[in-house]
Amino acid sequence: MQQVISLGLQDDFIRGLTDILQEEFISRGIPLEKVAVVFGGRRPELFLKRELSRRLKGAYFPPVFFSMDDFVREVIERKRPVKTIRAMDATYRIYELAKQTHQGLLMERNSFAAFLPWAEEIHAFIEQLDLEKIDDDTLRQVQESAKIGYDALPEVNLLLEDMAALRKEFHRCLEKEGLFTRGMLYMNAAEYAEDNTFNDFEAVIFCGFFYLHKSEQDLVNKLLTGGKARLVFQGDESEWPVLRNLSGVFAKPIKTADAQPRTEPRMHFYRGFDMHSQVGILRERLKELKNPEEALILLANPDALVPLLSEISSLGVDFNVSIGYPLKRSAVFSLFQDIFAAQLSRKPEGSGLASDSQSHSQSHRQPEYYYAHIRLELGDISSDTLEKLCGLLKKLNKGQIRTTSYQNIIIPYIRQEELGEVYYGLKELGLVSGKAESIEDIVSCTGAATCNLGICNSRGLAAALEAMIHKEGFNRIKELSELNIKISGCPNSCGQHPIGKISFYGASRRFDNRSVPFYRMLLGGKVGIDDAALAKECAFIPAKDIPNIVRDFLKGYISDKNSNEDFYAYLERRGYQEAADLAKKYEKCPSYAENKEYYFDWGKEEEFSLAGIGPGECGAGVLDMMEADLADAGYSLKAAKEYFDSESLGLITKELYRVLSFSSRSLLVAFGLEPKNDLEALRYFKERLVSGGIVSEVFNDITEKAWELNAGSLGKGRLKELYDYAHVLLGELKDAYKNMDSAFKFTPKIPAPQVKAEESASAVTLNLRGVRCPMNYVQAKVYLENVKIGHVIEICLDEGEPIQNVPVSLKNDGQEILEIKKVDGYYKVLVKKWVDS
Amino acid sequence: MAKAKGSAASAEFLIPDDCIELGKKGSPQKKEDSKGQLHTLSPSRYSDWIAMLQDEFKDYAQLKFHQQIKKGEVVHYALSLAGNLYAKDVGLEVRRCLLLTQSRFPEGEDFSALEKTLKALFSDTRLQEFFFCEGGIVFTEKEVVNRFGDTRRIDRLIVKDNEVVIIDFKTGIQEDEQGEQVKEYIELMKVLYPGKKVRGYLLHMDERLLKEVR
Repeated sequence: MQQVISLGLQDDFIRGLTDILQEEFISRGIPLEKVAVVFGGRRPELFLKRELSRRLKGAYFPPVFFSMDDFVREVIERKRPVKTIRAMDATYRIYELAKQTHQGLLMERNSFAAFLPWAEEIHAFIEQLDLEKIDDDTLRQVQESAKIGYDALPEVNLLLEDMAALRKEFHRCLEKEGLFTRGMLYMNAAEYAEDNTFNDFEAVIFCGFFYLHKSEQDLVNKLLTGGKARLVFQGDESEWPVLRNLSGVFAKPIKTADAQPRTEPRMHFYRGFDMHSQVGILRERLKELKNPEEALILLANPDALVPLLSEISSLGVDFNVSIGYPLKRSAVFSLFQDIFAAQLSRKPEGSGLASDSQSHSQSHRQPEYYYAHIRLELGDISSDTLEKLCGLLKKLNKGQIRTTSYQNIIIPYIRQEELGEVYYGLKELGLVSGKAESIEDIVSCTGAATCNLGICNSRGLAAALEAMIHKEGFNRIKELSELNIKISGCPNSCGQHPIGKISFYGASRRFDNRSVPFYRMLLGGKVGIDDAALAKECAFIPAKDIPNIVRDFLKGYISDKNSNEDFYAYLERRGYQEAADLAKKYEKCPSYAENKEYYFDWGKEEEFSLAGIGPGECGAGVLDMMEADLADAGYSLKAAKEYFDSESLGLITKELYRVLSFSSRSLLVAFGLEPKNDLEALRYFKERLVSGGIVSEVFNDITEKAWELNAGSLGKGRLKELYDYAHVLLGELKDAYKNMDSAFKFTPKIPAPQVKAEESASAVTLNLRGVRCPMNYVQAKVYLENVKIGHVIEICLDEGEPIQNVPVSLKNDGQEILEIKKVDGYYKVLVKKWVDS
Repeated sequence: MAKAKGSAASAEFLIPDDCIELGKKGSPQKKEDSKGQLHTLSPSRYSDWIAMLQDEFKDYAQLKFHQQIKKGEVVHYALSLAGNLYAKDVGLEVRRCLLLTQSRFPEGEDFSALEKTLKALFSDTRLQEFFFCEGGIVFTEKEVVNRFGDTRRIDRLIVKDNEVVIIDFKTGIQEDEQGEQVKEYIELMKVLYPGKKVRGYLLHMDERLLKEVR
């Protein structure tokens, strides 16, 4: 028998093979059981056995059949036992290796369940490498290319970089346990076949193969060299490059015996009005065929199978039903479908080019146009890049750039055929990064970086938040992509914080006699045609802890969110409470000695200071102080109420005392008063708030009440009365605060502050030395209320924050700063009053 | 867009009054009659093709006793590895069978029970002729194809000079007490080994009960 035989494409392969068996073995008296026949799978042996039965007209011992998988196993099992690992176990080994030494591959998918799909991909990749016996050198070349950076998923680049090492470790780990994967069996088969004579067989016939993996080629070659193998192909190498390649590998021609003239199939088209009539027509046609069993019926639609079988069963022919994947489910079809879907769904992210219809742009509606949405980090673009971008647009004959409310830019009117050029042009300019209008696309005002109203450095916080988002992988989580973060450096809304889903605005608080950058956190803002809402304030925490609270909040959102609710529904059900709980965890600021970091704003090298900041700060600073005291009074009142349930009378007493203490001092800052102790606070409270008619006269005995609480040993009934007293007091103070005007006035009757005024040669002097920000500003403002318009006063201010802040604040109020003069370590400022503030 | 009932289409006001419609409404071109020939289908005569699939499905017993079947598969596989033990070290052969069976079925079967079964079978004096065959050729899991092209697999086939012995191993839940399968094997062997005497046995492995099929 020739070692390589190829049958014509139009030949019946099974009959041709039977001819060969008959001629080469049966007619020569060689028992078929001494022949091994290897097919790609198991099914062809059924047909061959049936054909042999027909020829031999009786029972017989058949050849020994193998599928390629079985044969590979047989080759190795002749030398050693073969224990294979199940696919799921293999993926778990890959997961463990990734955890131990290739953590980059995990990409935050830390659980096996989360990593499983990717582990399966890696396993399939390794299997393919093994089947094709890709050696380390070749892999290294791929790795080198990967370092250049294909335009692929980051995981794919990581995998390519790590592949050689990961594969080696995977193999080593399995070899240690004596386990094989299918790929490992194939990879090693040729080696195990080295001195295997297969003497129990007269021949090993490999039948009906077309493409052979490198590992299969090596195995077959080894058997060909040993003289045992026979190959039966179908087709001619002159027509099929794959066969030509195999011909080279085996150094044997793969040629059909006689090049028979090919008869082109005749095509007839029939049309039935429904599926049943179609299969009815088919039945009629089958009746006319001489050998209906040689007919192949290919059903495009699997639903037609049962009607078809019902129709043709009456013909009395045998049929073999082979159900494969419909074309729509084939890998190639799915691949194209996915590619198209991916192209269409590319939203206007940094790299994204999307059709207007999909991204809801209304500027142009022509479906043939696309636009590029370029995400600008913190809204910045360098002049150099902008110039190059303009050059690109000129080259493409585009004359327009639009800016967006997300501080990004859009290039409109791009035709589909221009998309590639635009994309690669933008990529070259470094303008393809991150997803526009997603959680990583943070909107921020310039903040204290350049704005004289800005209290905190919002840009620094935006950068810190973005770094946290990337570190935690939040930008890759689908549920979070719809969220947004907006930051303003002060209560003004330049950073759009009132409409952010998660937003912040800057403030400051005093701790340890120093200013600390703080932010108010807001949630739930939205802007829609029929559905708009301002974000609700829910936390007041140090700037340094903002990334922490956002991280915790987002993690909670991911794990607690119900599948059917959006962000707003989540906030109502759980989110606001979650934020309030987190606020308690992060609201405290450590002392300067404990952690200096808290006293430095994000992105700033120098300690946080309100120096040089305009009235935005001064006003906000006063408000913050009032709000902080009112909030503390509120916490104590709530705590006192809870202690009533457990009847902890001592604790109730303590908390109620705190309510009176915080309440009494809360609004005094508006009068420029800074009490040194509780007693002073209570006195000022009576003088300014009770006597001023800002709160009810009933609170004139606040000192006695506080004294009573301080003495302790009160019964539950009395404590209940005092609780009600404190409750009403706090309510009135909150109302007063709410109704306070921009000049910090509660009622028309505001007595002049008790400040030391000295006569000087030119003007009245207000000595504010030793008075800290923002109290100095408040005192100056209150004092000026009683000064006539056109008059000049002299204000003495300390160096640092006071001299940098107060004159600017007063100037912004509308007063005129005539002169600033440095005198012996402090400053004298001449202020002319022009307006009643 | 559908026009609201009774409302005027504002676009109409854009058309001057003196502008009149010229020509007449076009009508779609008529398609030429299909040149296809109409076939009249004869009525179908359906037959019950579902019955033809009966061999394709496992019967209830196979599903119900899948664990025992699995156990049976393991024992069958182990015995398929034990060829002719004549003049061989039985202990070594048992270990080889166990090792290879463990590799094939790594899910953790009770291999100590299997070892006991194998040892008991190999040491049973009544069964010596099946495992220790001086002058005979032993085939295990031997495939034979009948004249219709259907494959049968004989658990153990011993071919001697003048006789052929068939052994069909049975585990607890397997039916065929009458040995119909073995009878078919006997017929097949009579065809393949004309002139030789053919004997067939059912061997229940659990009780080591041997029954000749006639």
